[in-house]
Amino acid sequence: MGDDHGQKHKADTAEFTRRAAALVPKLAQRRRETLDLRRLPETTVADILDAGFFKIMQPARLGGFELPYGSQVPISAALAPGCGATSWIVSVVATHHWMLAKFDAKAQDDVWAKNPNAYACSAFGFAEANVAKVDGGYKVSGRWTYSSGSNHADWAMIVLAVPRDGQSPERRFAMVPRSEFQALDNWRSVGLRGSGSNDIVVRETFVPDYRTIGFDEIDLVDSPGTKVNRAPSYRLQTFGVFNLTGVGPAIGLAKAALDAFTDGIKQRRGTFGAKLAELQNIQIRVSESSAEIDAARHIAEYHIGHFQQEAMTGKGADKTHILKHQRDCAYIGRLCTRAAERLAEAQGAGGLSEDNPLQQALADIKGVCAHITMGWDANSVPYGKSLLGIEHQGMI
Amino acid sequence: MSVSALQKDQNVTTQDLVARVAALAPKLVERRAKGIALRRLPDETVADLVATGALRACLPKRWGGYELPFGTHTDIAMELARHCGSSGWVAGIIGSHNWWLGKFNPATQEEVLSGRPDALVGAAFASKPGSKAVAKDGGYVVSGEWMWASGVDHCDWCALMTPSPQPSGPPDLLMIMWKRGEYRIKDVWNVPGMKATGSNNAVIDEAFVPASRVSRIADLNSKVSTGQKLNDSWVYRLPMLDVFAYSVAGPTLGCAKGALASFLAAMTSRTALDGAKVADFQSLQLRAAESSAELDAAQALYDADMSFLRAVAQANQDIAPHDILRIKRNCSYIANLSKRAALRLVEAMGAGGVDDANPVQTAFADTMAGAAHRALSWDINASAYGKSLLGTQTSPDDEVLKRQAAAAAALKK
Repeated sequence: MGDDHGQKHKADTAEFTRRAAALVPKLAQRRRETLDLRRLPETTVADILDAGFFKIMQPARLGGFELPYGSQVPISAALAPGCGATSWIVSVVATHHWMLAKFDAKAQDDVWAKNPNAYACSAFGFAEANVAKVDGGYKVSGRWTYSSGSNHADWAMIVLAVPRDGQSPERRFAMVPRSEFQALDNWRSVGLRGSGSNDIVVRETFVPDYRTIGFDEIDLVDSPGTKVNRAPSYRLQTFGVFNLTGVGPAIGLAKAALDAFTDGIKQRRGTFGAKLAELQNIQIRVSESSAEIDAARHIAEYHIGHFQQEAMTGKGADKTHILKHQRDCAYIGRLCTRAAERLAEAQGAGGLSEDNPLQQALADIKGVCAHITMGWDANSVPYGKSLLGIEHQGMI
Repeated sequence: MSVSALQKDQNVTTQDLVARVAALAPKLVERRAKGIALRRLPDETVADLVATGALRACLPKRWGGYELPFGTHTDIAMELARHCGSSGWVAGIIGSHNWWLGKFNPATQEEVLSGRPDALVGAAFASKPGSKAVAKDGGYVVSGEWMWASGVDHCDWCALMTPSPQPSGPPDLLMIMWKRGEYRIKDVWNVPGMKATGSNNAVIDEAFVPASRVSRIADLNSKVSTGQKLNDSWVYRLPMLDVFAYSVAGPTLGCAKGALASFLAAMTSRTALDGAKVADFQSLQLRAAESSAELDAAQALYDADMSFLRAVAQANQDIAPHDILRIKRNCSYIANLSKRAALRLVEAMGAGGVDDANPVQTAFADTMAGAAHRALSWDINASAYGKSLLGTQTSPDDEVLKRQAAAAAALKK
């Protein structure tokens, strides 16, 4: 491969993956604290910023590392054994920053010119929203839901549904600064508890046009931001690749579950003294779960490789591949869920404890798979339809 | 093919060979019922396969083969199996023999292959209790019965894995090459799937074989065997038994892919009793999506392992024991994914789905039968890998490996 997508970036992704793995012991120590806080501890946020994980796919001209799209997968996966919520937030925020690189250059400058460490949470769904087109921008208020990392973020990327006469509302992404939104404290969940995925409230703010971008524009090969950000990865179409966001955390957590299980079971004896590692049922469980995790990893690698080629050719995605990718991210979620469940159910009462790392990993995988991009039914049906020659209506 | 034509043909790629066998698809589909009735491949199918040159994919160049990397023969087998499971199976099996012939006793290679690049070589690894080779006068006296030599009715030669009792300890395992006529074929292949593979038994009542027709399994299952002094390409630097499972996993996956293709072809146009288009049913969309996801997952594992094996062979390294077990686990897992994928489709087809004439049913039965190969046993391979992962001692299955290791050590002395 020519350009910067070759060896140099591989090494950089590997370097960040090493940094992520090095952080795992610290993150694991803070597991209880993170669960109790229901958001990341300040110390963890500081560690993330210090390591530069949020900046991996941020444009180089604004202090980012401009790694190829897909690098969030191994890096976030490497964080998962320490903390599922950290893995999730790193993958999600890094992906937002890649999206932000497609906005008008001025919007990017607003976020990063003064502070390259600034970062954005997001909320794409809303419970109630009031949006109106006004001169030079949008008048916005409302409550957006499930905004991971919203407690600390400097900006929020929200979705506006802009009313149009006689048509369904136009959907746009919009950047809102910290001063204009508040995070509620309503994230009380079983999975990804530490992600602080609270609702955010925006009260009567004005968002200038340039800080917004239409769904159609951000999905272009030559979106506005590509005028200033020339790296091939910014030419990937947003909705064709976005679902990859949950894949790193899912795979990393499933691997963490497997490692926690095998490390634990090697030492354990049954009530009547049998060494559990010598039981064939246990051997077959770890074998099947590890096969699922390896399959998940190779599927992810296939798609990441595909995206890097697609970025280099710069011609955009073909629809069949978009559908296949969408199906596969959800399938990876299924494989990882099954892998962890098969191990958790062999653990007995000790496995039910919140302080059991396998139990925690399973809960977090379920959290990851609850995301709209990871649900099996919604994400597999469009591909099934395409196989059966049925036209799929609406967004994919 | 003449020798000069063969030389011109030397730049053939894996893609070329896959394309050549893909072009046979309509004929294979047409002959499916005939093969099932015969319980072996029709002669014309074997002739077609030979004519494509695809069976020589991994045969040494020295003998007129293409010497393409291990796995080319399974790519070919997978493609064939999408259209006819039994054709894919036999091509995978015979193709794998043509690969490991490059590792075999040099005298045997000469005798079997010199001037005969299209010689067909069958093999059987399982034998009935009591089958044995007893050393005598520069060779062995052999008797016994060997099970399930796929395609044996068409073969010019057949290699039989034979235990040779030792004064103490476990028997040494030998691979012995026999010429057609030196063994009897016993017609035993009455099965629900892979019917046309003609996987019949070979019987030797009592016969002498010279040592020039013998290779030790321990030798063949090493990175560099005695026979590789004839063929020093990296292509042959893999242990024969340790990588064998892929030769049957490839066609098994191909059968399940065939099931999906036939399912989609049937369901795209079918209407229910009330006139509804069944392709509109979300239940069917989910079935198609899940089965296709499983088959793509299986393909991703297959591709990753093939790249891994090629890299190891090119670097002239041994495969680490844990990785050998992982590869075997992956082959079994590929078989499991293939079975699940095919079952999910056939069970949505109603009574038509159990009809012998339904290609989905044939492909399903072939998938099940392919996955029944011992090399694809989930219980054996998953247990062995699980043990390795858990750090406990070797599995019962590894007794075989242990014996081979002991024999390999003895060989080095």
